[in-house]
Amino acid sequence: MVKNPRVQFYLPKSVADAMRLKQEFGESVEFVGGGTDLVLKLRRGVKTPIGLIQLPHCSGPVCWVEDGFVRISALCTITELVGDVVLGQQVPLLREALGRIGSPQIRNISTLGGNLVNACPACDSAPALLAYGASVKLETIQGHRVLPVERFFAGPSKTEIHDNELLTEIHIPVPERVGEHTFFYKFGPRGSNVIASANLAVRVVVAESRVSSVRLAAGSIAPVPSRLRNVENILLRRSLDELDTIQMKAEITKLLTKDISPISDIRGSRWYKSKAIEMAIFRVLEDLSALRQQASEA
Amino acid sequence: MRPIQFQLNGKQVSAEVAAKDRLVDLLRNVFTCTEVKEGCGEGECGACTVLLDGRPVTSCILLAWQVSGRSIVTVKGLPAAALDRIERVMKEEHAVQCGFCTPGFVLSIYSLLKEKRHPSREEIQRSLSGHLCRCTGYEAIFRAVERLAAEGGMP
Repeated sequence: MVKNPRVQFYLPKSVADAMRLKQEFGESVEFVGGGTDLVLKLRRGVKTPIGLIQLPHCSGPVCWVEDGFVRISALCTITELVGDVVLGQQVPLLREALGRIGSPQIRNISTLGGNLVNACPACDSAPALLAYGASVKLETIQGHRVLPVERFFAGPSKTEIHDNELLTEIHIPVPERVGEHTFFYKFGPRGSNVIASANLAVRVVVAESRVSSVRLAAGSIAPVPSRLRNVENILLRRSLDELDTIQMKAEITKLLTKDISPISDIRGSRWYKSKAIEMAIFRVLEDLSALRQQASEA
Repeated sequence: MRPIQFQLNGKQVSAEVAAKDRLVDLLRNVFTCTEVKEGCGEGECGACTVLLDGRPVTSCILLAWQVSGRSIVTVKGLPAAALDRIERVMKEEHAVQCGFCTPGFVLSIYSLLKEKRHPSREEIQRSLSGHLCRCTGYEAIFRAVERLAAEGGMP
């Protein structure tokens, strides 16, 4: 059963100890958060480290606000994040996306840091983080750097993280909540415990019946989770009346081909994934347009 | 191979494990906890569910050494009074057919009712969404959980 019986495992007492071990061994050892993705990669021989370092469970706060940023521990389990009051109040779109990861059993052990470094194109947390303009804190024993999530992913299963770095926190600029509307869609063969065929996170701020800020990000439609910049640009500053129109929808259908480039694979065809994202955006437009009608009726 | 210690069904135990050994194999092959079933081996079906520090996790995608110093409970290790009640109500509601998924379901049901006295139908479905059952069609299982809650939850 065991291909390389000489693989070592380490259970450091602190995050600093974990980073020291990584510094010593470099790329030949892997950090283990929950391990839910890593175990499968080990068994399939996709990863062949000579050592595994279990990250200590997060002992401090799960999510807190400091210096204009919502800060989230990357070492906490997804269940802890979903249940956190501060996170739910500050970044509801992220909370919704996190709640759609895997199954309860997987959320009970897996971590947000692990979900990100795994760099699956279908990752559920990344579109929500992109919609919030989030960054990741990458730490070594010498210091740290902060990298926008937008520049973090380098390809399927590839990130910009260096060998000795550990993703310890996620930083999100404290979002404007007045006039904020968020939407998360996940498409897959089942309602739960699936890897997304496509997913979409949308954050819109409406002021005076206009779109004053908008971000859309999607997964499973490109080598990395990506923002839909062309669609964002056409929606920005539009009046709510202009959103749910035939012209706008036709324009979006056209622009989407520039924003996404899904491949046909076991999770769905190129056509299906494109259509799913398009339909989800149309639904968002219809919902936003309904706000306008509610306002005029009130 | 290196020794690890952990709590299994309330008892302190130790075992020699290799880095890539899975928890499900350790539990079944070394500790003969054959009540822990392996289905898909990929964390999809929930048959291998055990409680790790009180929360349900799938033991097929956990490495054995990861539970070092922590507590594992299998269906055999649940408090007798709780297990008896779940067993009786699941039987009466026909929430068991072939039984392969049952030990996993029982642990998630126990964990849910310990945390929430009166879960809604939606909360029940969500809590059990990490388990596949190919026999019952789930409805009988949901009914059993609702009855357990109505009859006073977990002792």
